Amino acid sequence: MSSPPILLRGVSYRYGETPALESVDLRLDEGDYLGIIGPNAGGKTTLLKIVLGLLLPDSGTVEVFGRPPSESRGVIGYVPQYARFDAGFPIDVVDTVRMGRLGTGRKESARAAREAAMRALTSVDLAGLAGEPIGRLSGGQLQRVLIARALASEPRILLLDEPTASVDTRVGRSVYELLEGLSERMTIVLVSHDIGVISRHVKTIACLNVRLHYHHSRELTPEMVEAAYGCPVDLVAHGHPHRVLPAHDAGGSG
Amino acid sequence: MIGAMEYEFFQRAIVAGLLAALASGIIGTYVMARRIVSISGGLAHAAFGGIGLGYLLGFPPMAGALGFGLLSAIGIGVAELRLRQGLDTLIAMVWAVGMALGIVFASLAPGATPDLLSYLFGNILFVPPAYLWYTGGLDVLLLVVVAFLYRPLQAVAFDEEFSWVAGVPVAALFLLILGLTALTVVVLIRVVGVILVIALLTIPAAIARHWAHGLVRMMVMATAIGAVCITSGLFSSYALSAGADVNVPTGPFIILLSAGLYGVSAFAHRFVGRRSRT
Repeated sequence: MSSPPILLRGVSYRYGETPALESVDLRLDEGDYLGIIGPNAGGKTTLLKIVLGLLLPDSGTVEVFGRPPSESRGVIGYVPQYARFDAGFPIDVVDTVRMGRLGTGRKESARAAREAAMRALTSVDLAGLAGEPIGRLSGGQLQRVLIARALASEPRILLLDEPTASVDTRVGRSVYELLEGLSERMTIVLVSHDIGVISRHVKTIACLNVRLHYHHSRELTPEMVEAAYGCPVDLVAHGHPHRVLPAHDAGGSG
Repeated sequence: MIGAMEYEFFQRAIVAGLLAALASGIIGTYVMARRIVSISGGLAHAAFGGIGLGYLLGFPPMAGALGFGLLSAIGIGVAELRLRQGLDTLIAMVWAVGMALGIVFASLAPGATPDLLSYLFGNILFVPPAYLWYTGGLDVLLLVVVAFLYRPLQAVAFDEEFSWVAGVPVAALFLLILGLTALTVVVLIRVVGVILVIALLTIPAAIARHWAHGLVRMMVMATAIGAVCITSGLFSSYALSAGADVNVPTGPFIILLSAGLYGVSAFAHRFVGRRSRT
């Protein structure tokens, strides 16, 4: 029996005194397409970084296909938030995407790497911008370049951090259409604070606000969305009165 | 002005300048892209501790500079990776401590107080011939590293987290680039002095960044700009002293020239950028 793509057991992480994650259990199977929603500072990016191995949990275990993340490098395609990039960095689009071909032990010619990068760019409809410096791209274009970079590594799992933050609705929709196609051949986890939008696209949904609320539902039912929307309130009821909560985060968007 | 080329010391200064421009164009581009520009100043001053120790214990000061430079580079790298200390803090510490150690060691050294200032300002007109070979060797080493590791180095500078996730040996590459920066700084200290090293590792790459959209193009452009600044600085300071009998120290003259060019480039870049957006 094969190990699940992602398996977290009792994972906790804190920044100094502030807990970011508390006893998070999560199991993803092949072909899952999970959307994790939650308020800002609810631990979403921390959770992704723990799965990636960029952060080590204070307690609990993390497995990616049955092995610790540090031994599974190259298996996961990571799409970080584009806003943290230095737009002035001297690099063009195709060279950015080629970074996805740098994996451990991958030996291939420069031509093969370039062709793989061009295929990834074509899949996000950006082949025409291959030679463009990244500083000249719009937010939505840069976002798709980062997705292409992750795809260029031919990952078995794709993790995306706020892939539609600060892009307009039309661009956001095109990103989700792209992910929907990809979800047929890889496991996808995406985090966002944009509940309204992602609830229409993902297969299952979880809510994270330090603790993870996930019911392994294969179908996205109205009850799931309801639970997701209701979750910050839930947490208040469970004794976190200081985390009162971006109710606007839940209701405003979408 | 052409008469200058008749002098062997002047020919040697030109060759040294061109070789130094290549090394600093490569490393300068990289530290600029990685946003650790102050590393060159930090390591240059850390090397001072080694120069002082050399005088104190009677071994060649440049060997001390190399040891201190490399140890500081590795120390900064390990402290950043393992202890998660801010790079800017570490660089400033190494900078001040190296300088302080150099002064303390030199003051304890027997005999006449050694002339630390000559290392600070250097003199490209009196480059020891062996250093032409050292600088040439450094250039070859840097070209080989760039030829083999260009893409991983570029990836790590652009996005360390993605590179790690993809399986690139991020920590090893970071330490490699810090070590090469230390080596470059120490070799060039003897060629052009600490101050001009900092300028050469910073200003040409900063100008190139205005216009180049790829690391290789930026390295080529930074090298060319460095070469132009050094040679025109050498010729004009020679012309001033031969023609008008005004003695301008060459190193500082090269720095002022480059800084002026940087100012022009920054304004031009802004002007061009604004036009292309409209």
